[in-house]
Amino acid sequence: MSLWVDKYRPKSLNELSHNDDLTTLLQSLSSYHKDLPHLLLYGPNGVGKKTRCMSLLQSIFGSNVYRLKIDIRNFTTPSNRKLELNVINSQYHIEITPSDMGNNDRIVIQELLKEIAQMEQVDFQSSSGNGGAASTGLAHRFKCVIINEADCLSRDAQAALRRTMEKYSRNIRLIMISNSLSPIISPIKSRCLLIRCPSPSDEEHLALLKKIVDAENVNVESDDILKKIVKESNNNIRTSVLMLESMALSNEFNLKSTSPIIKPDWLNTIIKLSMKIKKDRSVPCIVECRSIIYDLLAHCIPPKIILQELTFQLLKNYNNSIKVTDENILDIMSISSTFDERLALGNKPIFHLEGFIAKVMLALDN
Amino acid sequence: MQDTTFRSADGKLISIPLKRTKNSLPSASWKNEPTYGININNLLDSINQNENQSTHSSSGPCPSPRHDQLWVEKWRPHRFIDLVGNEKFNRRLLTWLRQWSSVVFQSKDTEPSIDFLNRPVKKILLIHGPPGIGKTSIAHIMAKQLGYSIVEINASNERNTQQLKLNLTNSLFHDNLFSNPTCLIADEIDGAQDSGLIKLLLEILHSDKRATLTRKNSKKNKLLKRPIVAICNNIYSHSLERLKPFCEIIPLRKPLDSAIIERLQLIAQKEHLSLSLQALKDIIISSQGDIRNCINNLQFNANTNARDPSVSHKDFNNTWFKIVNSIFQKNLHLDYKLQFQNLTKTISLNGNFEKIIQGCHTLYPTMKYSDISLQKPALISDWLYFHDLCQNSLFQFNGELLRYSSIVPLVFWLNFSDLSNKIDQLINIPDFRIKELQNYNNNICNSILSNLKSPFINSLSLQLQLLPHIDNLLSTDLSGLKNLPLKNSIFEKLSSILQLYNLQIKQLYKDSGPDSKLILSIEPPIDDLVILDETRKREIITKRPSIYNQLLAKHEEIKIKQKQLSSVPIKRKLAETTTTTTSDQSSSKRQKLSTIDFFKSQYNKISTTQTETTNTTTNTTTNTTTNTTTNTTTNTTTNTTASSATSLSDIRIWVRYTEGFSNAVRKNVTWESLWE
Repeated sequence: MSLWVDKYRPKSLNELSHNDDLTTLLQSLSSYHKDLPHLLLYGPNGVGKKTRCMSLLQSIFGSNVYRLKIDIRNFTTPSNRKLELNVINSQYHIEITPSDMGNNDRIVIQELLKEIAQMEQVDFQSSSGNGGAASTGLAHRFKCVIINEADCLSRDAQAALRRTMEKYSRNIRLIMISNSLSPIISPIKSRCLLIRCPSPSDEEHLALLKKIVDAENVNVESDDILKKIVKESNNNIRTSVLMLESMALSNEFNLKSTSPIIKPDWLNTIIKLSMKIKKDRSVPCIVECRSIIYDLLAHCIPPKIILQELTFQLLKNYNNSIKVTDENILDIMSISSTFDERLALGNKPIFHLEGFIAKVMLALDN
Repeated sequence: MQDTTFRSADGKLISIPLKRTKNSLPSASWKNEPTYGININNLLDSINQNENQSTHSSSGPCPSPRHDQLWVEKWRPHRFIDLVGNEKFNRRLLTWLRQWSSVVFQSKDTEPSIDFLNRPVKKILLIHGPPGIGKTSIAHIMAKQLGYSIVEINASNERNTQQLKLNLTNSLFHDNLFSNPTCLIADEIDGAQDSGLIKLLLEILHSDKRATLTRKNSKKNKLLKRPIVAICNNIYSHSLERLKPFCEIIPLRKPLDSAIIERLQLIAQKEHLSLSLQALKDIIISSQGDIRNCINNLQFNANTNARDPSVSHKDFNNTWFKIVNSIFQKNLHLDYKLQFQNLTKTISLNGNFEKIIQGCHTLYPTMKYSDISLQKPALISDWLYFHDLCQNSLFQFNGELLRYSSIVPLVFWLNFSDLSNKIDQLINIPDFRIKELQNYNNNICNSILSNLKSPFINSLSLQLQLLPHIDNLLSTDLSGLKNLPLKNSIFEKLSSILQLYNLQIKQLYKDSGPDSKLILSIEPPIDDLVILDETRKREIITKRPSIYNQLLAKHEEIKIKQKQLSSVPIKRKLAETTTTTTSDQSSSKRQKLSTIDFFKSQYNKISTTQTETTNTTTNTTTNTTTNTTTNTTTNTTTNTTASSATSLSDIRIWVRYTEGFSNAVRKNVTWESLWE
């Protein structure tokens, strides 16, 4: 008994639901399990990159890859600061999120990867099993290293990765997972097999939800509500399943087509903020918006996500607010992209988010 | 009044003396008296008396404002009654420390506890809270008040493990002939470099635990007979994880502004400072509830005033908030150009561009200025970006661009200065507060994440997607649900979620106010992290406790059920193979025992654990197999000790009479007769 997200997560390649082409590709990869290229999985949030990666490992190494334990590694920076990193590992793979360390991710890449890479893994099973492998002594095996959020890796860290990938390719295989391809330097891209994980189509997504609904005995009045969930989740499967679960629970397993969609609080706050911007374009409103933004920032919502959600909410037309014309949409998009850059280059999110709001208000006024 | 007499049946005269009420005066020292049972008026009178004496004695040489001593030290609270704010927690702290009195001072008046030495259940007191609210002071006062002498270990001490161990054993286990019994205060224990200290503390606690089980104070397993108070800022620090189960955790919060003002007024009065109420309030706002900082500021202000008013005034003029205010004020009588030059000069002289620009940014929307639509705020955002870039050069080009930041305030002056802005405004930059909150929330998130063995969740998706929904699920009101099987299945699910994510439902203080009540909520506080909406924030106090209450009841029920289910096969196993006992856990030794020996040791163990504290740590590792390990040997991991505490409910020895036969006679059989 766990959350539906975990319960209905595919555990092997055969169970994967959408994108059959990709699944066949992975299956063909796993059939040559003595050799695996470095992989770079990319695609939007919540489409199952990690699920695919784990099920690929499962098909290569067996279900022992799901036996996980957490280690805490300590690192020391050149400036003598001590850092801690959580490392999830199984017998066959190790998983790190170097971006947790911010600017110090280079040290993690250098030390941890080298340490793993310099150790040879020995495959006792296949060396004792078949006589063919035994003739060459112990069979050799590689270890997989999963790097999460590879797009957040700093340039230094990526440069450190370059050589390691080639030099120790006998002992390790990297599987990198990232949301977008653009922050990754081209030398790394050229060393990897790039695999794009696209979002599921609306039909696939709907079928997935229907399967869960049937398995959990939820009464659904019509498919409209499921379609609504799919739409609201922005094709993010994790969000839609979580949404479905909390809605099912709060409606006593009877989903009507009019049941309200449950959204996380931070999203609701951003929606309210966008309404406020459209409704009242004045300096006092800016003060109010500022306190809301401060509140969001204090709750650890990344400024980039605030900007992104806010932009998309501003583009939507609601009945009770002013109409956003096509010109306005262009303006808002260009302002948003400018401030996205500023957020990335600068250090003071509050300045830029507030500047974004002021400029959007100005654009809406004209 | 006379004694009553009466004659008994055999003719003797028996007199019964009147019961005399002892009219002992309560002495001021709290060491020999229980806290209640004292006339509160007497107590207050004695305090007043003491106060009068002390003021009389100090009235002669009045402390001059320019005293050599730091006021923070001078006005550090010295008595319980001096403490500001957090009354409820202070009292909790005091009760905990008083519970040690029976073992330390052999006093008889404490409440009986489950512990055989009458010590409190949790052996360490952990105080946490933001800096500068008097955590260290409270600990010191409490210890002093109850007659302990204090041994303090803080970050300045030797961190060498060997040295530390010597220090600890010296102060905790050896009696000192000349001074009072010691109370150990471990200050600032939440640092990465302090893992040595925490390891030592854990060692002591574990050996104490073993010693309590055997009730013997051996050389190897020493009984802890002195209180330990630990202080930290960040309760969710990773290094504290293992210590927490042994700790009575007390959160201290920032005291109310009114309470601080009272204290500051007292200090100002005693130091012959005349400060307006507004000035005091300003000090408090600028230090954000940090009392230590407040007192420091007070002294600084007093000193500057005392020396030379004109000089101090000039100094004061150059601080960043003065400059910020002057940026928004246009002077009618000065030439435009001259004013610009003056401003340029003061700003470049001050050099604290970062603060000045932050101040300008916080202040400008509240100022009066002329504008068409929102052109000026939009314009200034570009300049703020420019400033941000210049600041960033600090990390890349040795800050060569920093000096160009000085232009940004001038842009503010050009756009936002107006004649009608005359009164200086108070600037309250929330950046620091936001940072603190961010840290707090991040710590919660990380603590959940570090316990979670799922490769599919990263911190961002945990924060943005998973936790809001978990919070939502847990707070769903199910009382109106009629369908019972469905309800039960939902509860089962929720309780498994609680276990999976290592969440607990606990009684916590949610409100920072003085009348905060204990209410049920989730620990770690994911609701703090997740909920932004005001109306839903209120629900935490109003609606949620009852929902959690229901959930908690079901949760415990389910746990007990699980325990029973898992213990059934073990019982059966015991019946079949009674000759050997399997001990599969790593630490315990394997021993072959006969049936009777096994039962005997079980019986001994139960009788010892019965008196032992059955603390309700909800660690539900139902490793009942470990509980069948017969000998109470060295189990060092926390896990096994925790389960041995819960083992009481698991271990039952059943003896069944075969009734129904003619020779079955029911009689009392003692255990001794069974194995002799």
